[in-house]
Amino acid sequence: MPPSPASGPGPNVVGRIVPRGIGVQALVDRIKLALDENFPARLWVEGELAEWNVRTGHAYFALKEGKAKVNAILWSSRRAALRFEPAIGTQVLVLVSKVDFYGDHGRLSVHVERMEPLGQGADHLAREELRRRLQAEGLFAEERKRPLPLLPRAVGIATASGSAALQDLLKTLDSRFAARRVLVRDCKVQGAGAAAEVAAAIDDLNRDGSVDVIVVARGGGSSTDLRAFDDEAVVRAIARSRLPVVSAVGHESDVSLADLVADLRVATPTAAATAVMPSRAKLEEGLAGLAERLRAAATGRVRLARRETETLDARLGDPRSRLRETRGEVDRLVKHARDVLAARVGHLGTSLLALGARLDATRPRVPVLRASVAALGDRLDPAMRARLAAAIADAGREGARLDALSPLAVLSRGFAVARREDGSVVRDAARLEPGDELRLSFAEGAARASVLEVDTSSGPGGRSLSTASGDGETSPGGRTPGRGENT
Amino acid sequence: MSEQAVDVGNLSFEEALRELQSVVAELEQSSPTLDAALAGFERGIALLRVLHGRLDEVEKRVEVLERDASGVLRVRSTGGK
Repeated sequence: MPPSPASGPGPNVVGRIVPRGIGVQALVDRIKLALDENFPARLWVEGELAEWNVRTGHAYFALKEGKAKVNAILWSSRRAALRFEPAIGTQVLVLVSKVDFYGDHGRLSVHVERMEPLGQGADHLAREELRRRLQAEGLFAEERKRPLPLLPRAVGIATASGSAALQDLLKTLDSRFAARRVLVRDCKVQGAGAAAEVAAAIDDLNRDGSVDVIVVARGGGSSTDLRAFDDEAVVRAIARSRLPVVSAVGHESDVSLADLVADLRVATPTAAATAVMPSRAKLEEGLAGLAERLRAAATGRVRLARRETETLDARLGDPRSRLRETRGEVDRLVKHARDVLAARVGHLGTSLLALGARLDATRPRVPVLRASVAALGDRLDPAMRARLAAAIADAGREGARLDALSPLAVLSRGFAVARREDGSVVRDAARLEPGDELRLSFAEGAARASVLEVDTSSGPGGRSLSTASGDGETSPGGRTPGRGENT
Repeated sequence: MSEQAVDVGNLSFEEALRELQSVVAELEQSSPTLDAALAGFERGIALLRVLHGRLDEVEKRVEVLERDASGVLRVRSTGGK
């Protein structure tokens, strides 16, 4: 029964005629009825498998042919009986048991009882054939992948101007590194002629040559929109690009041939921008770290050199102070020897006086006692003499050490003293001018020399020992040992 | 070191960074002579100067690469950011 026209039967409320319709449920019921009447028996249908989702064991998929598409369900019990692994893009033959309309979703779906593979869809086959051919050429090989520049001077972008993909790219590039140049080459990324435009854009960016890396981008979309990126023209353009190419073609699940040949494949334009442009903050942080390590390593080395120098200083010592010190020691030794001797002699004298007093008391025995005292004196003398000899020998050894430290001995180790014409000792090359006349004193003899070149760059390591020449005097402050080379 | 120093200005950011990393590693890991250490330090400072220069040298601009009516490639400034 068709819905009544406005003038048809119905309650007439306060003079107005209100139309009456059937309920939505009634409509759904009638659609179901019409389907049952038109599809009384099961039928075989051929189509390309487009979509394939499995939920709680049931497969929800779609069959398509050109622009025609229908949703289908394969219940889990039937799915378990499948003898092949259904793949998107393959051609299948299905037995449809029921064409059903789901009122709660407003969707039409066919129930599939059986599914058989029929070979693959034409698009899919052509793409697979191209993929195999390009792979055999080695275009997808890992070795062909080029590294992206660490910091590109400029980034080339091949995408549709005004697209969301371009906006995302520009925004992210800007946030990573605000001061960078971007060169956009507009190109159509879907529809007829898109492949040729994308390929031309890649070629043009290479020809222009002012960028260091190219991003080929488009926003996400259904897989049919990505056909340009499966086109041989685009794959070839990326393959011959001199500059590294990043593909951001915007499809997570299905990898395009452009993705395979690109030097880097990312899922989104934002990810592409992140991949090609380093973060300025990170770079500066890295440089600051390196600068600190450089400074620490260099100052560490200089400190080490200073320690080495100080160790040498300590071992060599200041000849003058060492001389004074040693002289002092000798003086002390000699004085000590003298004191010991005096004390002994003094003690002996006291003893002799006491003896003398006792001798006076025992005058008759004096000659005998006198003889005893003389014998004692004889025994004392050799002991005293031995001690003195030892003290003198000690002093002699100190004297030998003094010799080793004398400027003469320093010179004999190969050092020389450089003096100016006025006799002052040269301690700093920076005070010299080319052409200055110098007098060099060696352990044996001396020479006159003139300065050819002044090098002040070698720092403390290049310092030389300066000390006096052969007359035995030492120069003040001459305590900076060299590194083995002669002055 | 002076013959090395001549080319510092021509180094790309990447080259300069790689060299700076090796200069620092060399100073840290080996025990160079004092002269070599100071030369390395000077070289490192020169490289850092180049690196900071490279960070600063590009001005921000978005341009469009297009072909004119006769098919000649041309760069057009967008005037935008």
